[in-house]
Amino acid sequence: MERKGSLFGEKSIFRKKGVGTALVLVVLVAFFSLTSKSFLSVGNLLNMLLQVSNLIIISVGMTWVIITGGIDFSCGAAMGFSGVATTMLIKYAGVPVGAGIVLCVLIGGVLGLFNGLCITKLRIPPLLATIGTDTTVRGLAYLICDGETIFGLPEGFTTLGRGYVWVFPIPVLIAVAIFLIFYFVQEKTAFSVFTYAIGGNADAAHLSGIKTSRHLMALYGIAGLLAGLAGFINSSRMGVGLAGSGDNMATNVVTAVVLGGTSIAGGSGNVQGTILGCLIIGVLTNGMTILNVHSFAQQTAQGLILLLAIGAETIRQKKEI
Amino acid sequence: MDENYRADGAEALRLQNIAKSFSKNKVLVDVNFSVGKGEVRALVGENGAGKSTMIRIVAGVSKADQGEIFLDGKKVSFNSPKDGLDAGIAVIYQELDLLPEMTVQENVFLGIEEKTHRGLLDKKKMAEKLEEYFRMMRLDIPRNAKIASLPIAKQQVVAITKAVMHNAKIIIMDEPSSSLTNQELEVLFDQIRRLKEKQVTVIYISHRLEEIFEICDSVTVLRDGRIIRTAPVRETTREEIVEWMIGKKVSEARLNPRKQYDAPVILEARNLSYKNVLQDVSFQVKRGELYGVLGLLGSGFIEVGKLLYGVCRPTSGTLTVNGRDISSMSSPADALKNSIAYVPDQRRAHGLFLELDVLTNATITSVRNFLTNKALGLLDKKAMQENFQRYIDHFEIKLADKRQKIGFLSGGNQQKVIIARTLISDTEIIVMSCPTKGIDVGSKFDIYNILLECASQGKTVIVISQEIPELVNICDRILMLKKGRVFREYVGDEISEPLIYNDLLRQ
Repeated sequence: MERKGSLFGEKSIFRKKGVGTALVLVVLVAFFSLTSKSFLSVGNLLNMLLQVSNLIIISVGMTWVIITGGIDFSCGAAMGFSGVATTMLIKYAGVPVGAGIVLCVLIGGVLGLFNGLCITKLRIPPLLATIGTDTTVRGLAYLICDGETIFGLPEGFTTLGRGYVWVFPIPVLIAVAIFLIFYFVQEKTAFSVFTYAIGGNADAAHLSGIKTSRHLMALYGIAGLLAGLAGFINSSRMGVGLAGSGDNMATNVVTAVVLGGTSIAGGSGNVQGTILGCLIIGVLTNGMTILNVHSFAQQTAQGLILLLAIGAETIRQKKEI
Repeated sequence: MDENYRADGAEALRLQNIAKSFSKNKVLVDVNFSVGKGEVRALVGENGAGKSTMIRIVAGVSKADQGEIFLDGKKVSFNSPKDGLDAGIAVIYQELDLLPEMTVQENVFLGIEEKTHRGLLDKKKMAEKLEEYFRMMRLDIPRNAKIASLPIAKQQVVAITKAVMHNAKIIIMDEPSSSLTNQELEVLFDQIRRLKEKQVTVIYISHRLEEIFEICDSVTVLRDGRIIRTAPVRETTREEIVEWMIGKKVSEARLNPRKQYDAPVILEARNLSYKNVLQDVSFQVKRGELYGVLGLLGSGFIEVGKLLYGVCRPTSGTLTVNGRDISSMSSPADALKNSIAYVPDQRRAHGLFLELDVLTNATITSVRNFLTNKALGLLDKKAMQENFQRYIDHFEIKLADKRQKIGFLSGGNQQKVIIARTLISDTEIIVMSCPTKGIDVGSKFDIYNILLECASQGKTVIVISQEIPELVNICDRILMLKKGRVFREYVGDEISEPLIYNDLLRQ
């Protein structure tokens, strides 16, 4: 059937998608600024951005993974493991902090490549593969530090997580930089075309000469690198190495990406939307904390949001068919 | 014409004045058809003659625009395949609709499970019923085997068993023999004979006329949406059926004006074999030639395209392009590097990115040719747009916007985009598998002209198809495959529809 682009064309659908998510954000901001005086202050907004900076860093990478029709549930464990391993290297092996940052990112990358290997070579479905690595890697993280928190790190270790450039927290700047890089690559490169193609139709992508396994390896590798980076920032902010850190990350990341309009079935979505999704989660958490909502209730609210986001997407997909 | 042909015995099914069109395309015109109880009727016709549409209407999958259907003399009206099934009409499709991970027994009783008085599954009773049926039909099928573990012939028998258990009075078999060996065919025929004894009506669709003479009582020939003739098989001959199928064709001028074509060889296949699908296939294709590969389902013709494009690797034999051995190609990416592009036979499953826009679909194999910066992989989107625009204009591709999803285009326009894709990637050789499958007549001719133009510009085009008129129309030479082997190559005056048809339908 031929349908007219003006009525059902993807532009109009896309516009609606973006508008919906942005509207939710505006309503939330309006609600919290009316109910709390301190919410809309510059200080609080920057604080909110700081709280979601790690979420943003991991979510942009996850967006690409989800666009291919995959998922990475192990990002939280990768954060925890890379953070603990790096702090131990710094504390016991005397690795300088600068090298520690690089190492931490690389450790995350290696974990990501391992995910990629399980998915492309062993052909384990991404969800199962990464649930498996999540448990394994989390276990490893506790194993290497024997469950202890790594204290007594050198001066300078906390710079990345707690430092500021003018009024801006460094993690926020890193998150913004990473978003810009990903946005640029998404809009301008062949790499991104292949990502969408694999998610749209993996068989057709293979028949179009795209090396799908290699590409997926790269994407899971990138997701891992970002988890490693977030792992370091997190440790640096806390000033310690903690095996259990990042334990809620995967859920939040998936929520943010899906809220941002990326299809869990693959083939469509973008990092701009994901940023909106991250901000919604950030505003909600921050606002509820200001309003003294209990953290258990916050968690319940976040779970409900994930269900709503996925439910809305499922309904939208049905409409498109 | 004897539209009033009646089989012995009572009438099981009658179609009266059935007509069906898709937009301007008349697929069935005033079809009158009647078949008796316990009769085995062959339904034959060229691709596109309307067989599938007729079957779909009988089965309740689609609705006729006009006309009536009578079952056992009673008028019926189906709104869904379930209605058809409930009324006792079952279709055994080529792609069997069994659940591969479930057992034979579970599949056979799906939807009609026997229950105990507590509402639990009565597996014992189902087992007894099934065993009894298998004994009666002299079948040796383990009822607890998973469908996926059975050979295709046994799966087919399970599908028939399922139909019988669902009380089917009319079983329609859509080219059931295409994937069977001769031995397996005997099992199928045996089943059909036993169904006949049970007064079940079988409508048997096949391209293989020998089979029809062996198993069928009568034959109905469809051409261009009309019933041309129905006759008892005893009173007709193969030649007569072929003539009814293709009609008295005045030797129309072919679209391809070249009588003979000569050029250096660009691609050569030598003794290609692939699993048990292809054996010892050799051929040479000349630069700038339109080379046809013809076969029926199961002849391995689709696999020839897959081998040429690196989708599968030959088990033995060699492939050379410009004298270079490329047999070790292991992926489509390698084929593209060797200047071979491919249009897959399954457009939606293997060709299109339905969620992506038309421009991306058109340039996906050639993105690397549009980089402004090789190291960063930056795309020159303007150049992509301009390049594709030439084909939009030239092929008259109808679209609202280059950024609209390709899923919204018609089949013909989608196919034009995929052909544009191969041309934008600018390879020397284009392999087209079933280039006009599921495409309306008007667009078909557009595509033929595009292919001819490609060849006249020096591209080598290999067209893989089961449609004889199509290949006769455009090809310089045609290679016929039968059961995985080369049967014959046609060139010059040998490229004639009746000749090729007769060869194709001969066992």
